Amino acid sequence: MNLNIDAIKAQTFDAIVIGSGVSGGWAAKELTEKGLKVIMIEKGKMLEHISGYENAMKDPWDTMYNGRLTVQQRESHPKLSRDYPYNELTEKYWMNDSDSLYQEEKRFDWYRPDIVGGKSIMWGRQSYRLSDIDFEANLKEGIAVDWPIRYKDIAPWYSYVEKFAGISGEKLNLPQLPDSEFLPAMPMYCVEEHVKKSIFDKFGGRIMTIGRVANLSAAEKAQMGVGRSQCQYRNKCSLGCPYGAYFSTQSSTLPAAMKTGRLTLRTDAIVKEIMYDENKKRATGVRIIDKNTLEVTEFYSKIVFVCGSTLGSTTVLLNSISNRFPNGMGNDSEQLGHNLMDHHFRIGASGDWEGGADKYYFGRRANGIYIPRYRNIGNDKRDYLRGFGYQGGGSRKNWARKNGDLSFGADMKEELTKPGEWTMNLGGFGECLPYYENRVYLHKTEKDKWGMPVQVFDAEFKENERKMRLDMMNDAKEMLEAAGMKNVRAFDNKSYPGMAIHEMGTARMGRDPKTSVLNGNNQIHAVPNVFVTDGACMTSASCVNPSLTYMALTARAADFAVKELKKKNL
Amino acid sequence: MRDCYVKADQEKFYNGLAKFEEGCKFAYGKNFVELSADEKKDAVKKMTVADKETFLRLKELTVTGYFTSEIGATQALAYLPIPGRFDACIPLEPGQKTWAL
Ligand SMILES: Cc1cc2nc3c(=O)[nH]c(=O)nc-3n(C[C@H](O)[C@H](O)[C@H](O)COP(=O)(O)OP(=O)(O)OC[C@H]3O[C@@H](n4cnc5c(N)ncnc54)[C@H](O)[C@@H]3O)c2cc1C
Ligand code: SF4
Repeated sequence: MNLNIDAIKAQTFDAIVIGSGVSGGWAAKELTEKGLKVIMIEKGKMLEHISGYENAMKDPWDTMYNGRLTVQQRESHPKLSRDYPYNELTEKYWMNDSDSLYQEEKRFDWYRPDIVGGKSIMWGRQSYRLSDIDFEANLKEGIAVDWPIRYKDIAPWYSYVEKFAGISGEKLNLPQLPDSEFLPAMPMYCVEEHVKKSIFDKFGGRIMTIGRVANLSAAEKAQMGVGRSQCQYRNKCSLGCPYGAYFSTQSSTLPAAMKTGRLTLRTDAIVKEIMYDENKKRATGVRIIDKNTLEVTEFYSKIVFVCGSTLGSTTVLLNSISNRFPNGMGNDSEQLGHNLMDHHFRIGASGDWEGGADKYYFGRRANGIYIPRYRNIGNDKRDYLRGFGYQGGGSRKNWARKNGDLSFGADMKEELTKPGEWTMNLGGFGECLPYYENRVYLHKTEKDKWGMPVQVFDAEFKENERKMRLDMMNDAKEMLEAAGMKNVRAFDNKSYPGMAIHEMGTARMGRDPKTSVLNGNNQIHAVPNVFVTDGACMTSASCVNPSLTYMALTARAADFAVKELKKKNL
Repeated sequence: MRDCYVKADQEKFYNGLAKFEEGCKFAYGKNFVELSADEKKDAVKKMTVADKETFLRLKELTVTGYFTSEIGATQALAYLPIPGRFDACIPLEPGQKTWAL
């Protein structure tokens, strides 16, 4: 009897955090720093900061295939090998296709991490704020439902997370892209400066700026305090940074949470479901499956933060069935799993520049340029809704530049040791509207090897996105041509949902419990002690990279949750 | 080649190389490696016309293999594993080689 009580005590915390990625890391940090005893549960394996980044210091000749995939890998990973994030050097960070058995009614590229830190290790670190143009769009256009928050509600939380994460960038005072709390901006290559000026002059003051990126262009006290140092400009971030110079769970939020002495990290544990008490009308904790032993254990808590990444979180909610919630926890509105969004991209143009031959650079900037949205802003009116931004950048061609021609021999070899001409690339990232029909649901019978129901995807880009893509391609071409670039090549490499790895929606925030899953504090309307603070909560997608918004919403919800706990409201 | 290309491409490439060797034997009575520098150049030149596909693949593999090898990257190119800082626009000094990474 005593043993039992002790065991239950050991399994009881103030808060449970599901997932240890960008969102979960922030939840753990904020909740522990506010005095709560927290367990963070992660399905992936442990990845130690620094010592775990096995490939980070490798030279090209230390690798078997210089990062390329083998035929065998492409065969064993038919889905993951569709795009670049999965390669020889990052293989270990991803969940195997043979374990990830999701199904596609329509093609969906799902990149699922399998490590502590989630995708915060592999992410591209581009960090932008949403604006009121985003928060008001649904309401103004009569699309989906209104966001229950506005920019002023989240602005202080953007500032709060930025000061800790460290975002490098340039202040611009644009209404569509509010400034962050910036570390020094990284400079532009000469070709970028050239294109920037041309775009500004020839397109009515259109802006190009340096990318806003979560890399420490300078390390401040907040960052050095958790052992981080300044960026060394090696541009190998996706392998893990031995200097802790970009924001990840391991470099930033995990050490902060650990420092409190109040965090327990449980790895290799899949949260199967959230348990619900009908009398109390509250969640009581979670049930987990040990990935290695398949043993099922329960953990109990006063509050639960669901941060399993959009689709991971919605899977858990859909799988949390009770008498009260026969279709998934918090699914009174029947919106759970619906309104799945992602950005559409892989479209734009590139060109060569004859200028700047006498200019070079030092160091490898892990960042590019950004052209903030200009379509459907102010007086601009298009035949589609919303807009897009461009990411891209300049570079000088390297030794691979003659691979397609017939030259060979010593002269060619000598020539290839010299820098080639400058090129410039612009790739659009477009907003996708929230469509109710775009959804993920759980298969009725199929299960994975841990007994979790398999996800099925049924989502596609539609007419609005297709129309937007014409502009995304043509505008890029037009800007590069106007800048006098040669051989301008427009491209459309096709974009499928999931590919941009900015999956959003499926448990949207809203004002009305009848049409949304979460309220303005990321609380499930009907289960107030469960908070969903990752991309699942997004009511619309904006066109900017979303993770900074998950950080801010998570910190904001954590603050609210602890206040509510103190008021005994939860 | 063996691990990163599908079987059909591998075979095409190896057949191309075998044909090339045969061609060398036929024209010079020697294997490619035994040819003089001028003969080698001549033979490869013929290949760019006779079997462009094999030539391009061979070239890509050779160039990539060389510039990502230790000797290629550190001696033929400018190798700097940990730059420590970033300057976006500096004068290109005479003799400056392409960055290896
Ligand atoms: C190559 C690449 C480039 C990117 N570039 C950018 C960029 O430039 N800017 C940007 O804003 N975003 C970018 N992203 C997206 C960014 O990585 C994600 O938005 C971000 O990581 C989401 O944070 P998260 O905490 O919600 O999810 P994640 O970071 O994925 O973390 C979720 C964690 O939860 C765990 N989990 C899921 N389900 C369960 C369960 N049932 N039980 C236990 N644990 C579970 C997962 O294993 C995972 O570790 C990029 C992503 C990739 C892969
Ligand atoms: S570029 Fe900077 S942040 Fe990226 S791996 Fe190198 S030192 Fe780390």
